[in-house]
Amino acid sequence: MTKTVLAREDRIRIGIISFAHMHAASYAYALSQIPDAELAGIYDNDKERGLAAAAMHHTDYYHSLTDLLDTDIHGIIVCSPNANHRDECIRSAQAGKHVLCEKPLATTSEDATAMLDVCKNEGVILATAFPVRHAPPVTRAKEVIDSGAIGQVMAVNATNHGRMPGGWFIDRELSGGGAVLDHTVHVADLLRWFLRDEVKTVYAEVDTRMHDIDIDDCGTLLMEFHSGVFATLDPSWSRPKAYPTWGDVTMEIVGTKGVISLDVFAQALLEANDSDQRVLYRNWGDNMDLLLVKDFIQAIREGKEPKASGLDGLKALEVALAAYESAASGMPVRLSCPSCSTAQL
Amino acid sequence: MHTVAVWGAGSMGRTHANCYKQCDEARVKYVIDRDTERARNIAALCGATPQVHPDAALKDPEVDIVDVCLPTYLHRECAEKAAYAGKHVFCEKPIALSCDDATAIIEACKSNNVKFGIGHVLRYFPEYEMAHDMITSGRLGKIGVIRMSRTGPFPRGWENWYSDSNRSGSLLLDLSIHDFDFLAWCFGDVERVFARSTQRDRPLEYALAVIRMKSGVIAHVEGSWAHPAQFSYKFEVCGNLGMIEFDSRKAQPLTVLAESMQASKPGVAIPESPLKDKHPYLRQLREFLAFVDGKITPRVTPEDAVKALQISLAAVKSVKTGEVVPV
Repeated sequence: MTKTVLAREDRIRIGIISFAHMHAASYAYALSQIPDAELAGIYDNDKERGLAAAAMHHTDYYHSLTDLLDTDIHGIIVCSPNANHRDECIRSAQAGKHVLCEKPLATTSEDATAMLDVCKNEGVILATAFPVRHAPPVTRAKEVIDSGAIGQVMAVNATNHGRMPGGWFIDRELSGGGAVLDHTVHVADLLRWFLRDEVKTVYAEVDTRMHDIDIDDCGTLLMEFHSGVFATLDPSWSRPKAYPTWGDVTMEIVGTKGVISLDVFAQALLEANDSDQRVLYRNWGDNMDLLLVKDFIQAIREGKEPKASGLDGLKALEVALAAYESAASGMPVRLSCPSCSTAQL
Repeated sequence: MHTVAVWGAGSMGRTHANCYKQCDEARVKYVIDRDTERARNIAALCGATPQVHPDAALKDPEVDIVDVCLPTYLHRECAEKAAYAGKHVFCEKPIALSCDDATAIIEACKSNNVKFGIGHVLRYFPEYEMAHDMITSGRLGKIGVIRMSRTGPFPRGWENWYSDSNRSGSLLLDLSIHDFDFLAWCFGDVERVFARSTQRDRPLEYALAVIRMKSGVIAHVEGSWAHPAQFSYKFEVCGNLGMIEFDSRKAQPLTVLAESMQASKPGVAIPESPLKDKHPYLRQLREFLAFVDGKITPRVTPEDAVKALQISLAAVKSVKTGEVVPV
C-alpha cells in the first residue's frame, strides 16, 4: 500500500479506531481544535458506539476497518481495548497509515515488538499516547532537572492514582492487567524521559483490595535504574467516587541540591455545588491531550519522530510486566531486555 | 509531684523541658549536658540546675524520673544508669540502635522496678490519632494502600551525630521509625520490607520503603533528610469505603510573614503544632507521668518500641543487601 502523498496545503486526515477508551472523545475534540488536521472517520467494532461517536464528532462511521483504511487518511489513532492494539496497529501500518496508539502499547512485549517492527518496515510513525509528557508542568520539571538546579537526581517518589474504571479495563482478556498496567506505563515513561536511563530492576507489591473485581487494583513498585537512581510508584485505583477528581500524577524528585514537588493536575479550581451535591477540582491548565495530538500531527507533517515513540511505549510496558512478575515471585525482577538499546530520550 | 532530670540539652531536651514547665504535676530539677552552655540555657527556661555530669541528679532522692533526650547511641548506657539509680525512665525514640540494646534497657527497668516510657510522639499527634481511629474503627473499610511521608533538611545535632550511622542508625532508623511505629499501631505486624536509600557521601539522605503488613495492607514510607528548608509530613490511607489524606503543608492555620525573619535556623526540624490541650509532646509526657502514678496503661509499650525498631532494622538490612527482608 502506498502512503498518501502529503501536500503542504493539505489538512492531515486522521481516523480513530474504537471509542472503547474514554480518551478517544478527547482526541476527537483535539482534532477539531487543530486547524491543519481533521477527524476523517471512525471505525468501532461496537457499531452503536461508533455511530454515536461519529454523530457527536461530525464525521463518518465505517462499518469495517478495511473500509476506513482504504480511504486517503494519513494517520490512525487506536483507542480500542489494549489486547486489540497489535492487530489494529499492524493493519493500519500495512495500509500505510501513521499510528498513534493509546497506552499501554500492548499487553505483551511480543505484541509491542511486532508493532514496532511492522511500523518500521512500512516506514510509518508509531507514537505512544503518553499525554503527560506534554503537560507544561511536566516539561518544566524536565527543564529544571536538565538545568542542574536540583543537582543530580537521586530518587523519585511518584503516584498515579485513579478511580477504578470498570468496563473492559477489568477484563483481563482485553486489558492485559489492572491498575498496575494501566498506570505504571505513564510514570515509567516520565521517569525514563527525565532520567535518560532505563529501568534495571523492579520490585512490586500488587493486590486486589479495594474493589470486588478479578484484577489487580492496588500496589506499589520500587524501580531501580542503571545509574542507581531509585523510584517508587503507587499506581492504585484507590480514589473513591466521592473524591473531588479522578486521580493524580505526582512526583517528589529528590536531587543532591534540591527537590521538585510535581503535582501535574494542581492547576484547578475547587468547585462545590449544591445542584449536583458534589465537590470537584476543575482543571484550568493546558489540555495535554490536545498537545499530544498536535505533536502527532506535526510528526506526520514534518516526518519527524513523535515526542513518545513506539519504543518508549514498549519500554514502559516492560516495566509494568516486570512488576507483575515481581509480585508473583516475591523478588525484585531484573528486566530481561530484548530491546535493550536505549530509546531516543 | 514528680521531679525530673532532663538528660540531653539538644532540641528534644528543650521541647521536653518546655512541656514539663506547663505541667503542674512535674518540675525539672536538673538539665544535664556535657555542653555547659546548652545545659545552662535550657535549665534557665524551666528553673532547673544545669549539670555537666549526671551523678548529682542520679544520687538525688528527690529525682524520680530521668528523661533521656540524648543521641540514640547513648540511650542504653544512660537509661541503664538511670534505672539502676532507681529512677523511672522516659527515653526519646528510637529506643536504641539494636534489639539487644533495646532489650537490655527494658530488662534494666524491669529488674529495678522502674517504669519505662518511649517517645513515639506521633501517636499523640491528633491528626495521626484521628487517622488511627478511622482506620481501626473500620470507617474506611478494608485498607488497600497507605502512604506515609516525612521530609526535611538534614538535621544538625551535637557533634553532627546524625550523619554518623553508627550513632544515629541512619534515616530509616531515626526518622522513618515514626511512620513504622504508626503502621504497627494501626495494622499490627509486618510481613516483609523492601527499601532503598541514597549513598551517603554527604550530609544528605533519602529513603523509600515498600512494606507488606501481615494483614495484607501495602504500605509506602518516604523519609528524607534531603529536602532543603522545610520540614513536612504527609499521609494517605485508602480503603474500599473511603480514603483520608493529610499534608502538613496544607494544614497551617497560621502563617507569619515579617521583614525581620531570617532563613530557618539549624537544628532538628520539629513539626510545629499550634495546639493547646492536644499538644502532642505535652500529652505524651503527661501520660507518662500518669503511667508512673499507676493511673493508666501507656499508649506505647516498651514492646512497641522494639517492634518499630525491628521494622527499621529490616529496612536498613534491605538497603544493605538489596533483598526483600522478612520481619
